[in-house]
Amino acid sequence: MALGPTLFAVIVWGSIGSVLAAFGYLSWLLVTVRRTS
Amino acid sequence: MVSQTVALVSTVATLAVVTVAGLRYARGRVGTVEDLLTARNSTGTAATTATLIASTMGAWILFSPAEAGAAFGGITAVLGYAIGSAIPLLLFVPVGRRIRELMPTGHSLTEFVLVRFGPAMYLVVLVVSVFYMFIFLAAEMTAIAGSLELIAGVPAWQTATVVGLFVLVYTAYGGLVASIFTDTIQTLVILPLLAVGFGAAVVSLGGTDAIYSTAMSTDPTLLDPGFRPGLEFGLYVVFAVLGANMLNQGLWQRVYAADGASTLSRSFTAAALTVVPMVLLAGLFGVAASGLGLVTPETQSVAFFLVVTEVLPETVAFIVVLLVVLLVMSSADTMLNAISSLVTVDLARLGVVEDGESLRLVGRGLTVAVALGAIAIGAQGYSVLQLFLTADLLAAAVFVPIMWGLYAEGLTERGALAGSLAGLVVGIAYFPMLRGIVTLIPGVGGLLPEPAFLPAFLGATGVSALVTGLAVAVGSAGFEFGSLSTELRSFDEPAAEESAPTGEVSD
Repeated sequence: MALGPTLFAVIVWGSIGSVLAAFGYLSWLLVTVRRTS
Repeated sequence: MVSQTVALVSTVATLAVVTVAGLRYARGRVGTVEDLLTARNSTGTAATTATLIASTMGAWILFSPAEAGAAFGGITAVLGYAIGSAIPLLLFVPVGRRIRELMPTGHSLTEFVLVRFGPAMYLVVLVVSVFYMFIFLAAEMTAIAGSLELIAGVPAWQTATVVGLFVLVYTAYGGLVASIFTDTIQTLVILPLLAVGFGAAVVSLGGTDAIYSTAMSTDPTLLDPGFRPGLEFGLYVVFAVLGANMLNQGLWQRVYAADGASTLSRSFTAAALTVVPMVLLAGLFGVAASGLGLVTPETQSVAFFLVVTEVLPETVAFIVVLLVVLLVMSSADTMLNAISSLVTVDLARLGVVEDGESLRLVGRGLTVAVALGAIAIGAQGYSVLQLFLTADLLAAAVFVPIMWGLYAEGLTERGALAGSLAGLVVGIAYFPMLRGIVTLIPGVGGLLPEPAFLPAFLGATGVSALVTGLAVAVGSAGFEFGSLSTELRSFDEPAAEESAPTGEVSD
């Protein structure tokens, strides 16, 4: 039983979004620390 | 195809920018051998997370997960690879906190093994750990050389030499301080580059619906989550990656570099969550390559690059060149520093080298020696997959007793060795890649079971755990964990640059 096209799209675009979210999280952390120090 | 000149110029420019940044940052910050090798309690959550992502995600993510997707079981194999890459990072949360608590002035896992178990177990762990890390480094050099040869026709020896020498310069000079700082920059470039590059690739291939339809019409098992070979691969790769990462000195260095236990927990968890989509995306290229009919048995290991060179526009291929260079730099500097750190710490521990200045020189000298060896191997274009899997198998058999030894007072050196050797015997008996060597032993050939990866890796870890558990149950010697903190010393002796600022790699 194969995955559906919608689930496949969710996996692909969800992964791309997660990588961008990780970038956003790290950037936010760096900026926050710079501001507070 | 990207032109050779463009590829070489952009590679050298990327290498130069990162190298200069690393050198400038490290200047005046590497006052002692501790700064060079440990950077103890100096990095916050952002830098620790970034360096963990950069260190673990080398150029291998553009080869192995895609190969798994194309040839070892489609999306199920890729999912297993992605989850398998995250598990070791999550396991580092409890064991990393534990080792910091037990030996706050420690430096490496082998140091723990020497004091906790003794010289025989120490030797086993040292050999397996250095073997794995050197293979990782050589694999990265081979990967970058092979990538640029595929994408732009750059000769392998040119790429390996240029990349190796640049990384060597800032790693030998700035040690772990430079490695963590450059890792932070590299991660901040790699993540958006990966997301944008892969997003552009999906659009160029006609969107997810088109990729899905093509894969389904070529081979429906590529997208079948219940496909048995994919499930098997997904399972054994978890054990392969887990064991190898638990013996990765680069990760233990970062356990100590984190500025506290909560930073350690947050950073390893965040890194674990980030590597899952990274490996998943790279692996899906293998599924796409197979679906597009680009893969043959000879080319399955470069499935990712087949899509890049044969289907995608040149701009995406150029992004991939930059991505590969950054991925290689960020993990190669970690491995270089990790190997030199492991040996340097042990030379000091064994009393071979005493004073801080000599240790620093030894550390830098070893970095040069290891880098030259890795460049030489990388330029040959060998297939390092067999060596990689062999190193993974050895680690899968050895890591369980070490981790158990962090908690169980009753585990003796004999028990740990018995667990490791039992795991090794079972693992090697099933391991397909060592079958040729093992059958050379008289009388053994007829006793061996059918070779397969799943029982090899599962057997190595499972039997090792079983025998270790038995050894703990029958063991009576109560190890005094308190002795770990008294027997280990810091090498923090101010050297020539003692007036320099401390080696902090702050966020």
